[in-house]
Amino acid sequence: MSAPLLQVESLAVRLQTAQGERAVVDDLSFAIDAGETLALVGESGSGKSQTALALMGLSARGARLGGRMLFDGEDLLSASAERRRQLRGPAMAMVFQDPMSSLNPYLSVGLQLAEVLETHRGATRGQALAEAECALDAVGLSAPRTRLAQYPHELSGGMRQRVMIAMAMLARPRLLIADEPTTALDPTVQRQILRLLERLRREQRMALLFITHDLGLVAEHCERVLVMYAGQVVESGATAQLLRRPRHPYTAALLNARPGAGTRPGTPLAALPGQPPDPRQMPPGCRFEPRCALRQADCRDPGLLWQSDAQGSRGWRCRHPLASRG
Amino acid sequence: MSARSSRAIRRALVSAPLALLLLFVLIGPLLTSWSFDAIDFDGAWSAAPSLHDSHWFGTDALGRDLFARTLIGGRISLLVGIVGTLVSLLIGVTYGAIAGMLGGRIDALMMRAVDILYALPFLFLVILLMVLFGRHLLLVFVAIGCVNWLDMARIVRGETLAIKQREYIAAARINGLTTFSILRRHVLPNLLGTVVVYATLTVPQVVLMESFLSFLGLGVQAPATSWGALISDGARDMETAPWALVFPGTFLIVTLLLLNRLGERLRKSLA
Amino acid sequence: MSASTLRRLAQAVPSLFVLLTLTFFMLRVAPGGPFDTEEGITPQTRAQLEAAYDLDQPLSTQYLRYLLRLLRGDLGPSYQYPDRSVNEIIGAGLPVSATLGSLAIVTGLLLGLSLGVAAARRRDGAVDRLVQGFALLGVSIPQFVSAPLLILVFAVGLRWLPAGGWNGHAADWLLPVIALALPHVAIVARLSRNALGDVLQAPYIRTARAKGLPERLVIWRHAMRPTLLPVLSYLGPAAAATLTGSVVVEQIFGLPGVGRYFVQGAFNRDYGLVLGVVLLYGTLIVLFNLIVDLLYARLDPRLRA
Repeated sequence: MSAPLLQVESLAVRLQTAQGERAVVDDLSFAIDAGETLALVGESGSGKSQTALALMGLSARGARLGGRMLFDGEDLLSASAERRRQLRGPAMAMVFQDPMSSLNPYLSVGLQLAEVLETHRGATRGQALAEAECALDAVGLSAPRTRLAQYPHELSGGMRQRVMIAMAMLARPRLLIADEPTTALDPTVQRQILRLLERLRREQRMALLFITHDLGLVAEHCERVLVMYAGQVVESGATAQLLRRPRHPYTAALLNARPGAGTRPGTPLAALPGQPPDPRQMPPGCRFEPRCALRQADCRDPGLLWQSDAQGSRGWRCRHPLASRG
Repeated sequence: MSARSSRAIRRALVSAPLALLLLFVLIGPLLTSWSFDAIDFDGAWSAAPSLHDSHWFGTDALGRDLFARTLIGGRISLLVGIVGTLVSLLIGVTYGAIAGMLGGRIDALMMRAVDILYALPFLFLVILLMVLFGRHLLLVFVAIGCVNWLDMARIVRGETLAIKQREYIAAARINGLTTFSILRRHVLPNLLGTVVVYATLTVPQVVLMESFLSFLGLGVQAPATSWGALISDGARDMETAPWALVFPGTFLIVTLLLLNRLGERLRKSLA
Repeated sequence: MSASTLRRLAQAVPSLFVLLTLTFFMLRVAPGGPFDTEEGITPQTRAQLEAAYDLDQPLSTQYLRYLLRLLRGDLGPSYQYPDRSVNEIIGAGLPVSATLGSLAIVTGLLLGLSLGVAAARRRDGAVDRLVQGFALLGVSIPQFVSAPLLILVFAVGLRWLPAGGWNGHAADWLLPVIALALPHVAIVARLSRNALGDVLQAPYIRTARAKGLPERLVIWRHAMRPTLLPVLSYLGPAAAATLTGSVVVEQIFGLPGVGRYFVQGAFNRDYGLVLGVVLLYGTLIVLFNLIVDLLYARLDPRLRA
């Protein structure tokens, strides 16, 4: 087997805040192969967006990063700022959550698209605009030529997200990071956008890191899943297995908290009680322990380690995992 | 006003350098045996600063002690600054609170008037006022107060409108309180934080304006003096006696600097 | 032209009218007259002079006649300079004031913006603290202090530059322009530093960086327009004030601009001249607010409709 496109080993992200430094991502490891779809799932504040920004090299000023990130064999953390900039676009691109505020309201759609090609391929404005028009067509926007002259406020939310995607795809990235790309959109548009991402991934053999809090979307679109809680991965594995037989109580709780096809109307959803831990006072052992319904006496002990199954394809961070029936 | 912002305001108000400067201006004139308007007939005119003959800042072109003049002038400048701010406060808060409380068409009309007044070249009008109606110190206060209340009125009106939306105002209305007593008991106390901050920012503006008018010869009149008047005198003789410009100029700059910094800190703590 | 531009224009007319009326009657109500200071003037001559300038007419007649003349663009005669009309005096002084003023405004914009950008790129860094200190100092040094100090240091002390006057040398302009520009530089630096600092937090700036754009483009293409908006709001009225001439700077440097005439005119009860300068300033304010409106719409596509 060849080396993965992206390999992350024990990534740690620490941010400067008014209350001092705080760890938002801790001991995170995963790999993505070319053309693969990986889901990163967790509540808001679990560190999934910070992971994405760290990969892109867009962490906030004063952030301290540890561990290793290898992109196509190149060590990202030791690369210069200029090299990281050159990688953004042709190597990795990102689609953000809120298409309303993620496009520059002061610049025309055409300019915001064209500048990607001008920067990365030295294209002239004319060439770049022509290609931008094709890109808008490819993401399914009608009248692409008219769109080029328009400004973001003249487009609907779904159209803007299509523009965002076209923009991210323009430099033909090998890895696309989509951070909750459909959360701000209504359900019908959500489906269209997801189908579009799926199609583009297949056509361009691009790896997709799909960040979401919605396990339903994961089940439909992703091959493998990482579940994050309080800055750490608590469980990972192939989507089908992980959803059918979660080993970590947190994954199980997430699954119970969402309405499924089998949920009868009127049945209350099992909301997860409590709040994620304060990053300044992380529990020494399992970080989920204070909210866990299945906690036991030794869950607070420090030194909790990552465990994996025999093949190494599934793993969890729990001393008392749920039984793996079958 | 939250506990945090009121604490920040209290902390900033006891700004040490500013307190020192105020103290110096207040008691400094007592330290020298010279009066600010006495001419030293034994000494030289425009004498350089010296520690020996007790003219620490030198003397001006008429042989008067510049140390005493600078500090006495500072008293006037700061007095005008504070009183002028209070005048603009009184007009601005009253106008803004009334417009905000009454709301509707009256509010719209009152704010239209403010808009029109904003477009007027007020500095020109103040100069005109001072030239035409003589140069009484009282008039300086009035003129400056009349200019500076517009900002305050706008801010207070906006705050009043926001406060009016809160639930306890509705409760007070249901309990039958009149508009005036709601204003007095509920709105004005809540305006305090904002008003304190903008008043602090107004003081240096007023000090500056007074100095400007005095520089043009339109502010305080001899024998009384202020920093602006001293700077005007000093600028005339600066080639032979630069200290007559440098001392009052430095005092004015440092005062404005400290006041501006205080105002900015307060604004940040409130934001 | 947008609706807001038209509304601004419509608002400007009453503003100018109030200004004109207020100034006119303030001048007349005030004690003293234009010929009080003339020496050796007989009562007959004085009456003739006043009759020649309509000053013997009732106030309302004078006011109406002034308005009528104004509609033809005539600001009337100057009482102090009998051989020159107010139009001529302003016409002679305005080029001087406007040249100095526009140099000062352009300096303020370019230098202030550069300082603001340098400060905002690394908030709370050494450069930022330096710029903030400079900005605070800049707004705290009045022009009537900075101007004499500049003369003291560069003309009297170092003898590098002339202390004043207007002989057509570029060096004559340098010190007055510095004195005029200093507060603009300080305020523009502060405004743009704060605005750019906020803009750089915006999600669309993160998008621009995620596209791999060089920082130069991120700042000057993506972040500059919203940064310029508050700067423009300040510079509009400031430009009107600076172009009409600074009373203080022109007096200290002995420059033949418009600003000096105003105080002199007021002292001499030169009604026509004072009214003319006030009107010029009022009109420029209206004009520059209008320009700011139009520029706003150019910078922000959401305001074009």
